[in-house]
Amino acid sequence: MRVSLFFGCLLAFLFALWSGVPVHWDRALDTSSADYRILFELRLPRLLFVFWAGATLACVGAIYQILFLNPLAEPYLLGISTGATLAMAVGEIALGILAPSAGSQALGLCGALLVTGALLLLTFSNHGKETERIALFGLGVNFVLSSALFLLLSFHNQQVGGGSMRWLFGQIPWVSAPQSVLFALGASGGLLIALAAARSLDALQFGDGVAQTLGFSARNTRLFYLSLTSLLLAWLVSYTGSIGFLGLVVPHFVRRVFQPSSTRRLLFLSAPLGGAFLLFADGCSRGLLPPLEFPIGIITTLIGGPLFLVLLWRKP
Amino acid sequence: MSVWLRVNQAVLGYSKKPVTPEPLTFELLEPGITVLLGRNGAGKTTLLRSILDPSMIQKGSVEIAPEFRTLAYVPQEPVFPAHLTLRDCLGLAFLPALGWFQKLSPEQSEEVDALLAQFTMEGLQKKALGSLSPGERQRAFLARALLQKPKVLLLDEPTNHLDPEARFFFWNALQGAVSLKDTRVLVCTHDLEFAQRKANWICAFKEGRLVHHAKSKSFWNVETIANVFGEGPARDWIKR
Repeated sequence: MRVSLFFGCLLAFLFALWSGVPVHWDRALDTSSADYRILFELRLPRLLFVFWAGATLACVGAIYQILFLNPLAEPYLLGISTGATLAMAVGEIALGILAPSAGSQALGLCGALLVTGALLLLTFSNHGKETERIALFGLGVNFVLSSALFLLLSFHNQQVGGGSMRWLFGQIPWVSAPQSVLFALGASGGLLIALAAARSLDALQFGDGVAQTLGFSARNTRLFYLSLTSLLLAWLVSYTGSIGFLGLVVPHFVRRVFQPSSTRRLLFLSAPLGGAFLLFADGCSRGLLPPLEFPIGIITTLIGGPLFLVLLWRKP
Repeated sequence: MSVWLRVNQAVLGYSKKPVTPEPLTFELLEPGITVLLGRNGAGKTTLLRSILDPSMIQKGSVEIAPEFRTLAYVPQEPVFPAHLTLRDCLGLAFLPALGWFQKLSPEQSEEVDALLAQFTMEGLQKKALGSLSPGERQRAFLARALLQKPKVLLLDEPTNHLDPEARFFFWNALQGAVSLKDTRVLVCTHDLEFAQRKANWICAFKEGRLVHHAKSKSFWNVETIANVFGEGPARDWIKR
């Protein structure tokens, strides 16, 4: 199982490395050539970034499904990604803060925290006792924010640098090597913390009352994980916009196929699979019609959506 | 006998509309099975849940005595991860005893085996919770609760959606597995047959008031049942 997972990741990586504008592989190690620059200064940093972006999205999705006790919970569907995206789009259009930059990331974090805060408020208020309402509330928030974003982009389409696709569907930027390494370190650190504390999620997946008899406070667990995940998410979204479906499909796939015995195992398997999935999607987005690049969110939804439907169709 | 549950001047329910019209005060002393009876909305489930969720207590207190504070709980409509195997589900009963990165010890695994054998569920242990029948699943949750070795076991209408056979298996499993000397069982149920045959104590609620709190035997007469459930059900019950 681990071997096949490893080779899956490797294959996805090689595919994404190969995909795009053709490279003369014989000249790849010549530091003065354009091929060297393409491979080592553009593609490799990008692929490192993409892998950890996928890992983060998959784990955040898996965590949300337990926190909200809802199999449809996912950062995009709950409106948290869209909240961050909208805040950054407003920043770029109204305040001239180009994304990705530190200022834009701070704005994105504010957006993500605002939506998460609203979801938390609902969770802690008495209405939130019914978990379906949280998911539906998130879905409603997502609709409203998406419409606002769409309206904003329709008005200002000409002035926005990267075009509106990046904001609407999610797109991988060309990150520099230091940016990429920093993101990889931050994401792996955050995911390690999530992994270490995953016992509390084991208890919470049986509901708040049972979690309490097992010695874990449902409230504290939610507070901790929602803070951690919105930090990671805001950082990620400031680069990519919202990428849908990955956080839904990968954890479901892992649950069905591997039947993980604990949440820690679920996260541990979801992370590399999410990374590989996004690497593959990135390869497709650059390889279908080079040098054009499709928004990666379209690819993840095109692959993830049908796969999710198949998973739903089959009985557990 | 020491008091294990103390309800003191408690006003229970969510926010503006409490379920109890006047503060509730009573104590539970005896070990064994205590059954909470009453119509829907009478306050029995609210009482049970307020033991676990202090946000449901608006005034007063609902307290388990400190020496009995090892609890286990089987909720009315359990949420559960559908992919988890029955065996892994039972293993989670040991979460409080394990360190952050510890796995089940051989002794703990044996305990799981023993309980699986006792519940005659060995053949199901590799199955996912989502693929079990509702009756099997509910027994699995009872098994997990028992593995927690609770001093107080809380069951919230555990047989609500089960067919008669599954109900029979559930109650039998409960009776066979619980040593009534060590465990106090608090059950909400509408299953009067179970209550009559197995309960040691009965607390009956009507519109948020405790109207009957005594040994089980004294409950089963027309007047008392009629007071709690109405004339029709009472006459019907006595006829049987």
